[in-house]
Amino acid sequence: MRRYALSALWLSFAAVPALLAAQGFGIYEQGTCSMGRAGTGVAAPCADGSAIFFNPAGLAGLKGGHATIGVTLLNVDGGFTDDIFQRTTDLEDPLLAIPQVYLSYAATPKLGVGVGLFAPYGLETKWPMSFDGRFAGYKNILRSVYIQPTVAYQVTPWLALGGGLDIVMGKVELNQRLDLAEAPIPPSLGLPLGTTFGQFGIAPGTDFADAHLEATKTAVTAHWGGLIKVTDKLSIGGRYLMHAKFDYAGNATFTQVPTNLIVPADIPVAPGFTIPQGTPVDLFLSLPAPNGLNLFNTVLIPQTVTTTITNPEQVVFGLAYQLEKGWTLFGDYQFTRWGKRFYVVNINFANPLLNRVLYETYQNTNGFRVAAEWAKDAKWTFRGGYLYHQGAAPAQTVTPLLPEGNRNEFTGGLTVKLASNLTADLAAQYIKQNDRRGRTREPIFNQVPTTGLNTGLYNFHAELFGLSLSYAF
Amino acid sequence: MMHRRVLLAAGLSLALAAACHQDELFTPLVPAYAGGALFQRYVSMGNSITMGIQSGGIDDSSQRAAYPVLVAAVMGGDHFYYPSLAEPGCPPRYTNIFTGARVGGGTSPTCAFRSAGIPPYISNVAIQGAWAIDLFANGPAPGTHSNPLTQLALGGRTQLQAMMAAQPTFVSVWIGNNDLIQAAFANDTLLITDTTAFKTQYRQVLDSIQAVGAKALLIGAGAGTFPATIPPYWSRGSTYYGLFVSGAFAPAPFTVLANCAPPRGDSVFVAFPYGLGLIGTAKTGTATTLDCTAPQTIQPASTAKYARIEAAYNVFIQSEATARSWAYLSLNATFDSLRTVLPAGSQIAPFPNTNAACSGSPFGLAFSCDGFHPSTASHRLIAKKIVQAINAYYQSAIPAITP
Repeated sequence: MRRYALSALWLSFAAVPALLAAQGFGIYEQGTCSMGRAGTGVAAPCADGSAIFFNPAGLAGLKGGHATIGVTLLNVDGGFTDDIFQRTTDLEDPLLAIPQVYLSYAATPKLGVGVGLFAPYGLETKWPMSFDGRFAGYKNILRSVYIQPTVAYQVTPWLALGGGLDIVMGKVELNQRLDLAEAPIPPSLGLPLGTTFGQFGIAPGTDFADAHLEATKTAVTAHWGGLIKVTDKLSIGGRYLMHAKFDYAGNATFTQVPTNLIVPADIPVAPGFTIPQGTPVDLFLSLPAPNGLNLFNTVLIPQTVTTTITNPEQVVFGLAYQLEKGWTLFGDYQFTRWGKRFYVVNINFANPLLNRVLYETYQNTNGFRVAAEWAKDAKWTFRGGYLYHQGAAPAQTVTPLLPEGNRNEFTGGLTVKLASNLTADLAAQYIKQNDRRGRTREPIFNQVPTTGLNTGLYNFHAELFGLSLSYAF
Repeated sequence: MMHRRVLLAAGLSLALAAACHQDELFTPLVPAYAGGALFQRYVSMGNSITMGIQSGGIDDSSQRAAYPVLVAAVMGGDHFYYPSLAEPGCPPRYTNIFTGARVGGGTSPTCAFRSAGIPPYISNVAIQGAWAIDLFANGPAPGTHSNPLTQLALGGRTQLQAMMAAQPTFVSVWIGNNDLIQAAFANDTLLITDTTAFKTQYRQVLDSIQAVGAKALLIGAGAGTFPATIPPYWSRGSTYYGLFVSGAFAPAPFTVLANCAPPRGDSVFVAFPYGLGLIGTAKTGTATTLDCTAPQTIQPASTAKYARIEAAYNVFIQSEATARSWAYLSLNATFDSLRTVLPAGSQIAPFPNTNAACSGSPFGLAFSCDGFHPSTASHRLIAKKIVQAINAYYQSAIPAITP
């Protein structure tokens, strides 16, 4: 039974990441209480054990044990409208659920220990098959689940330090269609290198294969935090989540997709080689020579694929200031080092002809969060906040994989004490991403993208609802 | 202190401005003249003339000179994409049709395929050699006339499919010439698309245009009223006879029989490859004779049939335009008028100047160096007439093509 429960928990995590709420493919909704505070709290983490993520040092000085389990529901709305046809395609992301689990225990009055399960990086974008962006990726998943055993110690009455070792299970999955118009014609036909089927008239958007790439890797990294109680009212804190590098290795498979095109006339391709009238293009692609290109038995065969993706460092500083009558103000600043960690992604296949280079050229980002919390009485606490953060993707890298941009977010939440050892948290969050021009295609032949490839406008907004239960023991 | 506050306020303002900055969709600009919205996206359907064939070949230069490109330019709507064919062409154009020399030393099978840079849609979907049936069916379907350019330009799609993919607001259709003239090339009137079949096929095309919600201009079949005006690919038997009588072919032993003399010879048409072939053989010393009853020549009865069918096509096309509230234009009068431009024969040569390379317009200034397809100047004239016709019917103000 316990094994099934663990499996269910793991599966729910396996489905988490979504096009979400922090810079790049970062996710910051790692606790319902903190969500209501717009993610602030590095200087005063919530007492539900989520300090394991928001500041490991926050486990020091807690009393007893806390077990928290929560879920954040995401309703994502977004899409792309193209300049040429003014046609809007909506994301197909379903209602998603992001769970969090934190377990903490005060081993001594000064020593706190705990373990948390969270997913600070990840994305999942699903587009309909009618979307032109299917050639960049119609179902894209990047997943990092962190399991973090954590230790924190109250060094002095005013200083607490904490740290955790993160075991990070990463998975990357890319599903995309291949466009025959952009596919190079095999040099064996004697045509100039780089000649594409588009130069044979094949219209853009002619699907001829479906590619599925999937790889997994486990990495190890660490997370540090510190808390300083400057005065009885003012505390400051900081945390540093180190980067996690994944040298992924996996498999790529290809499936032929019928174009249903028929060659309308004899086409002399090269001296001595003519494609006869009436030849189905699909047969020409699949048949062995001399009647076809045998693509699905030569080039587009199952094969190994490798790539390296690095989750960037996060550095967060913040303060918390207690006012009179139960009020507390919070302010956090976050720096994420995308610029060094997500610049160029090389996807290497066993057949180097298929190698791809994605010039992501992400930029370092800054995020600002402010929040206020009011502890009305021993039973009720209310909170609300606002956050703004920059998009990591530069103007030339806003793509179907992650059409992100600057965001403004508003949050609200509450904690209610249901019993002496049981509390519930509720939170809601609205995310409004600025509309952003972007592209639907990767440049052919691994060229460096420019904003000249941008063909329309991405829009995105989301509503999040969080619920968690904490049990004190 | 005051200075700090100002700086702080400025900083906050900048941060808020950055936070709220939204990119925008590029909405196509509606042409600003009266009725401009109708011409937001123009698609042209047709055959070799519309596609941009000149001098027996096609390349980006001739495609750029084609009338739809000129019309689209003054319409000022969305980008007008044609399936650009790389130099030297597919096939390359003649530089001297009488020697067979083509651009870049190419031959008739030479094909450089499409240029790199594939557009998002095709605006000029016309294909060389297209008959009415070819607008909605491709080879190997029975009765179709697809060729390699069908593949290279449309990638296996039909003209209708490509037109619909472009989501046009306005379409021009110039089709029917090949339903008629290809029979003349083969000198077999049985190849003419009969009027009933033509009507069925043509209506199918128009229904599809209507289905996408576009308005249209229907252009009548022909480039000159048959047989009064016929492309200089053919010369009249009477022209051969006149030249023969004047001694123009001497001393070659080339004879033109009296059955080529007027008035009968005025209704007999001799294709230049046949007529010049006879003359060429005679110049080698072997006596040859042009007989205006020979099966290689178009006979008066056939000529009459072509004229009758062309007229029937155009009555039908015009009636369809009227029924669908679309514009109609016949270019026959325009080409007829070219025949009267002085000096006589300068626009449409009654007999090709075999001493001239293509740069010397051997078939006259109005036709390119294959004697059949209009020249760049004629494309300009066609474009002007089209703009005038559209403006007159739709009461629009598409700017005139100048000069």
